[in-house]
Amino acid sequence: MIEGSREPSSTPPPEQPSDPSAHTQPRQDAGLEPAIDAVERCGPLVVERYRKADGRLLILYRSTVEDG
Amino acid sequence: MGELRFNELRGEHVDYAIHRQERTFLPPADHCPLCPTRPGGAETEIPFEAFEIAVFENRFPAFEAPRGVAEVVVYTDRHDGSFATLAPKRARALMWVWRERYAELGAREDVDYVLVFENRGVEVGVTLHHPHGQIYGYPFLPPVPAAELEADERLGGCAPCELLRRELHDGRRVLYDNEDVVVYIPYAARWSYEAHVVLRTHRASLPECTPAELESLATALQALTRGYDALFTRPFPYVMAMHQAPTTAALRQAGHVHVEFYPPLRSAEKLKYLAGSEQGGGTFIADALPEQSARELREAIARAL
Repeated sequence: MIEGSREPSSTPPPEQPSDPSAHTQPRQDAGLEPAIDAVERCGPLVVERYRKADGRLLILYRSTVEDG
Repeated sequence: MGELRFNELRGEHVDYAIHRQERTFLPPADHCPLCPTRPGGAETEIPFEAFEIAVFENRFPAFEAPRGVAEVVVYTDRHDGSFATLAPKRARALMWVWRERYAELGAREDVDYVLVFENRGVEVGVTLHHPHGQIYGYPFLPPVPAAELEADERLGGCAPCELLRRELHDGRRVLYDNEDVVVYIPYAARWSYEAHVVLRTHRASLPECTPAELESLATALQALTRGYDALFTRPFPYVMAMHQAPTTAALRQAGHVHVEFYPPLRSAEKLKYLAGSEQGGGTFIADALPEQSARELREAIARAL
């Protein structure tokens, strides 16, 4: 096993809700292309689809402002 | 591209995805490919500085088009933690993500079965600690859900419905329940702390669930996983698998949403191994009675909530 890769020995505290405004733009040199159906809804979530430079799909789901 | 072969003696497929031998193996936290991409840092799988839930096609897929698909579902941009420690709102959001992926992948011609799953802990072969799960879209119906369809035949109807009725009638193995979901250790569990999380109402797949049922499912899953961590006061390894209806036209109603957990621990420090009888004979030799395990786990869930 690689040093530093072990799981924490105790259970970490519950995660706090994240700030939807922390959702940012992709890094400039990442080569991401928005997919054709770029923004859609999934229940309470907004869906953003991208194609990576190697063609693989990347989808981000984030809370809507009214849900947050 | 992998190669799918059919093992005639076992009557099952074997997927040769030999490129997976090169996949990232237990990297240090500062080289985690599932973390967000930090300013000035190396690009990860998610080239954003922050995100909530991300899904991407696996760089080392067990299945890929035109014969299935393999996706990674990253639950949070925080490296530490687990499904159990997600904020409840995030866990609820994850149910919607699973629902959407089932619908989209299940609509593909090359996908016959969508399996949402999570491996947690090095004990079950985890190679990345960042909280995440996976989704496989199989180009065939795998043996375990196929066996559940045979159970439907044997029991003369929906097997999870009938087994839930029996567990509620008995009551000794029920761990937790809410308005829409029941969690129990099955009467004939294979693993000491195996647990099934079952919707009370017959729903073939997540897209059939109401928003309230999705919320109840998230709440029940977190109750169980928090109880697991409280049981031995340590991160509790498990394999989690969600079973829904196959996505072929003829079988789209042949399922009942439930989530099965297969934890390998049989005590705080001892693992259950699949050995001679399990592998050679196909018969589990269990180390604990489900009723005793249920008492312990029920108390642990009560401590955790």
